[in-house]
Amino acid sequence: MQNFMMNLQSIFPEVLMTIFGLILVVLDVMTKKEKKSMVGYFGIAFLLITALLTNPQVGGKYLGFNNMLMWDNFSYVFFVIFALAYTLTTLGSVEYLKDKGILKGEFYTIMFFSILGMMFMVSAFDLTIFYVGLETMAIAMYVLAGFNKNEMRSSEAGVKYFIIGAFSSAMLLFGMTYVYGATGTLNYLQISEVLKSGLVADNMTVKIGLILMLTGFAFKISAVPFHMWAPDVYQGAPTPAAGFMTVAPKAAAFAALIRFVYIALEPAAGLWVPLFSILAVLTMTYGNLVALAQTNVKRMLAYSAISHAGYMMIGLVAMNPEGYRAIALYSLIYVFMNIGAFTLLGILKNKGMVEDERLESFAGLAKKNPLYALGMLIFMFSLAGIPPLAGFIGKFQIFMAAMKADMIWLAVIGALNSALACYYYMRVTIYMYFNEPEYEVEATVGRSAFITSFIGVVMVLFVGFFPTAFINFVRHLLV
Amino acid sequence: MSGYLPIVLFLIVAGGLGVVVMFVGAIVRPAKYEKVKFSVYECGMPSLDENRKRLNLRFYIIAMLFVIFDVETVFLYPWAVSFDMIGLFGLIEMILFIVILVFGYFYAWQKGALEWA
Repeated sequence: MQNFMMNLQSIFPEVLMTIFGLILVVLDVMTKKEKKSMVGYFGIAFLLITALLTNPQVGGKYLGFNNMLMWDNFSYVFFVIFALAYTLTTLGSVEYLKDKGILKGEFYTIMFFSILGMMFMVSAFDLTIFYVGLETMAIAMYVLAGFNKNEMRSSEAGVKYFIIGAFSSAMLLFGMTYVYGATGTLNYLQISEVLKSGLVADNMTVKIGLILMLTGFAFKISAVPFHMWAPDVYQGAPTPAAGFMTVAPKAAAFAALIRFVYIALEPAAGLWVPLFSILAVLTMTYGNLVALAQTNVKRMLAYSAISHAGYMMIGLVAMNPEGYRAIALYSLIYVFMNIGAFTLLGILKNKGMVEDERLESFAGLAKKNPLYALGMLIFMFSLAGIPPLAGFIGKFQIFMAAMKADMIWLAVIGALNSALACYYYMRVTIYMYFNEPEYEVEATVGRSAFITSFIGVVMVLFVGFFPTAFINFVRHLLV
Repeated sequence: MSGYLPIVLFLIVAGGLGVVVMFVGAIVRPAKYEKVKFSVYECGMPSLDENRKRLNLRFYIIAMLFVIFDVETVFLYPWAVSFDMIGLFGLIEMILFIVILVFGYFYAWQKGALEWA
């Protein structure tokens, strides 16, 4: 009975989310056609209830089902990050979806179920559970990317994401079979035990398996050179969905990677730390360099998302508690600034001549919509990592973790890269404040989009000005 | 690795045999070309019209629903056979599974996926 209770406690959040998800499905068919946003609002309420009910007290660890699932502070913090991403995306998407004529309940239901998959990924202590969670999340993401089926680009994004996603999942799975073949187990703790006996150094099977698995992971977090899908998918997807996709699945993949790499691969650090250090440098530099050349702001933000994944990888290779705390903090900050930026981007409309998100569309917005321009300015400055804003705090923590791990060269490359990134983020604000408009652009911020960007701006400023309170909050949760 | 040698040999022989057969065939057979010989090989009747026609989307939806509810029955059979061993736990487990599927059924029904028109 004791065992049963422990199992139940470890899976309770997921069970709750499944029940709520099923209720959302029913709500979707019950609501009227023009009131589908209610489904999203109910989703937010459900997430709030789950977050309140499943908070493990500090240091609480619920390990169940033969050490396959773990619900602890780490899982909880990342669940809160996903829930915030859902909340902000839902609020920011209502007007956009209505405008494009794709306001359907499924958008919110699918996003809700994708969070269920992410929770399984984060709380997995076993490769099978992790894989099932990953697929639940990924399939939901393919649908979200292709959600606007009236538009060619969105469909293309969906199909592209599906093919690359299936390919990388297959690679991951293939690697898992090798690891399983060599170690005889799928459990993280047991893999770690087996690897401790010096298996990595002289066993080719384990090496091939781990390299395949890490490559699969690199695809999921869009690390260069496995990033080719990311710009096309993020550009094609409906803008709020793109905001969600650059934040939540990436945070989930990082959290799962932290779990796997810190626990199972801890004895094999000599193999993956150099690999991921190189990937981190490539990802940051490539993402920033290509973003410089973009004239479409949505595509620019897609490349910037790649470079942000590079920064987060520094926290991963630092391999100390500061590292994963910094990643959690960075993901949390990234939720506010990136979803905020994508929400504001989704509002922008020009009278059907060229792509809405062209850089020229931003020209002269400061005079016409001062509030919109101010919000965008704050998000851009925060993404660039300008000191008094939240983005700076996130980057600072990441670089500190690298310093602590004696990887000063990585921190230096990261800092140089964020200086490089300033240029293309600044360019948007320069267009808004100093250039004359070339054509007519409409940027009316609706009620729910206003709430999203308001929350985003407030949080970015709050974290920027009172970082210690926030950092302590995350540290307290992560122990 | 030596245990895999027979498999490598097998692959070489299998591949080699195919190449040899094709070459020998090309040298030995008389070369008489007719129109029928150049037509695409297909079993059965020659097709009457374009075979890349558009199909009604409903077929796919019905097929997908069939797969889902077919899997349900596939699960029900072994469950029913081993019911005396798994007992109450199995019953609750199966009820949960079917309840989740019922939600999906309700959704498909309400969205009109079961109607043909």
